[in-house]
Amino acid sequence: MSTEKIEVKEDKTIKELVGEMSLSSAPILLELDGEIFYPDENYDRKIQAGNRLTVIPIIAGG
Amino acid sequence: MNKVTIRHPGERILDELGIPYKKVNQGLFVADGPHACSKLIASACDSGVKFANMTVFDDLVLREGGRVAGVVINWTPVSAMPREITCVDPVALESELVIDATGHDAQVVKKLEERGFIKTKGFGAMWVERSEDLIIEHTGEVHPGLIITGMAVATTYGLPRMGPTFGAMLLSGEVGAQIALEKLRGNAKIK
Amino acid sequence: MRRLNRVFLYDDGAARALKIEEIAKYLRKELIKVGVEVRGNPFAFYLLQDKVSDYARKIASIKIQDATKKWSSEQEPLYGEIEYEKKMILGKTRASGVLYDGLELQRLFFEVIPGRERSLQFVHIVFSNRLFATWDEHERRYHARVNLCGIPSIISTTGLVEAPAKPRGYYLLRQQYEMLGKDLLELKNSFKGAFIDYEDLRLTEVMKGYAMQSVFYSLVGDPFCQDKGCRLYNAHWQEELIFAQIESEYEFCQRHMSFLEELNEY
Repeated sequence: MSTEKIEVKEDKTIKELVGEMSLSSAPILLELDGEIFYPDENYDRKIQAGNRLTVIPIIAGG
Repeated sequence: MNKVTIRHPGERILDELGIPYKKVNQGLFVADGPHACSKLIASACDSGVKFANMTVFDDLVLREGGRVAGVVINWTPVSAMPREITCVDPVALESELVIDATGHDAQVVKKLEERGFIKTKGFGAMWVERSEDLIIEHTGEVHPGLIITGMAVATTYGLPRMGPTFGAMLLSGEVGAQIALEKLRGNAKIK
Repeated sequence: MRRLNRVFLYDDGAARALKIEEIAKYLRKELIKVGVEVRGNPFAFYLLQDKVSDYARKIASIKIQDATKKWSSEQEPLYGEIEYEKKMILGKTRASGVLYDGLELQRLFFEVIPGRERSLQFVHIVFSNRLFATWDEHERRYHARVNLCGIPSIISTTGLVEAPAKPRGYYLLRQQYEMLGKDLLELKNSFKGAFIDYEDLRLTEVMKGYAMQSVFYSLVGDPFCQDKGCRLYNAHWQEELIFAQIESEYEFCQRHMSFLEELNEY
């Protein structure tokens, strides 16, 4: 999995977004308007249609 | 199994106590088990330690807030007697501090665990390179009034074992003693 | 390809053999137009003194006791474990050997970095001697790791020794040594050079490559390369690691060289 930019199509919460993308248990960070955060600490946060988010996977090596 | 191995820097304690040893490899030493143990016991006696031989640890003495304030012991042969006549009262020994140096069994800590004051993690797998330093770094007071040293530390915190080598046991004991002294000085029992 | 603003290097009690200043010098040479700053202990840099106990407790609570059981937030650390972590945070000990949940550890470092510096334009790299692992849902067990790329990236000097597998013969012989109670130092000596060991003199050279993996993670979103001779190769064996970081005739493959050339032309 690599960094992915997405445009939100309709108003929803972060929880709904990661659920729809099947990323609820994936190790990721999200970036929105220059702010990077952990989705599970912002589940109730509302995002709006037109918002551009970047999904940043955390990658382990070795 | 007549030899004990000691990794650096544990040989410092052998030097202090006059225990003869040989160098096997860089950082690895061997000593005769009986000679080393007898010197350790003798130096403990010379320092004023009183051994209660043929006794078993039975229980803890606890005070307010579950503070450990001593141990309850009994004479070992009591456990070998017929059950019908083992009504020999145990003996409570009160103290400012208790040090659990009972090894893997961590008997004193386990007794505290039985009473719900602590939860031990069970010692981890063998990791020779890392375990000795970790034992020394985790040596200390695990519960008010109770200091743990040696393999009891590994059992309590789930640290890895180191296999048949004993340097950390000596150094952990030294650290435990230093912590005990600080606590006693802090309680103004020793000037 | 993303623009990079700055690289920050931290020392969370990494092995004494690791020369972080040398890694900084290397990165400055490879990333001509990107500033590189060495910041030392991340907790000393960001954390207020009155928060040390709080963080010590948080770190102690993410210890992994059993590699077959996933970490749970209900784990309650013991007093002695918290005291040990305080010593680690304050740089009073480098005794490593505790296993941590890697993602939770990274999250704790993330919390410490101020919000204004949490961006992929800044590459935060924490060199640590903490051993960490990540949970594999398919195998239902933890796997020790060398590095975890994110914000920050964490690279473990203990993980470098323990995570990539040593030669097969080593494990077979070790089993025999353990059964016979023989000293493992002797075993290690007979495989000398075949794997990176604690305080290995080759450690700094190897870590340069892992630092670049963190850089490329921020730059292009992927820290790794399939080319076994490229420093970005994700080695799972010590043999592969040594080849990619030390023995290979080239540092980076053509593709990653091109990225670097493009970055340095900005």
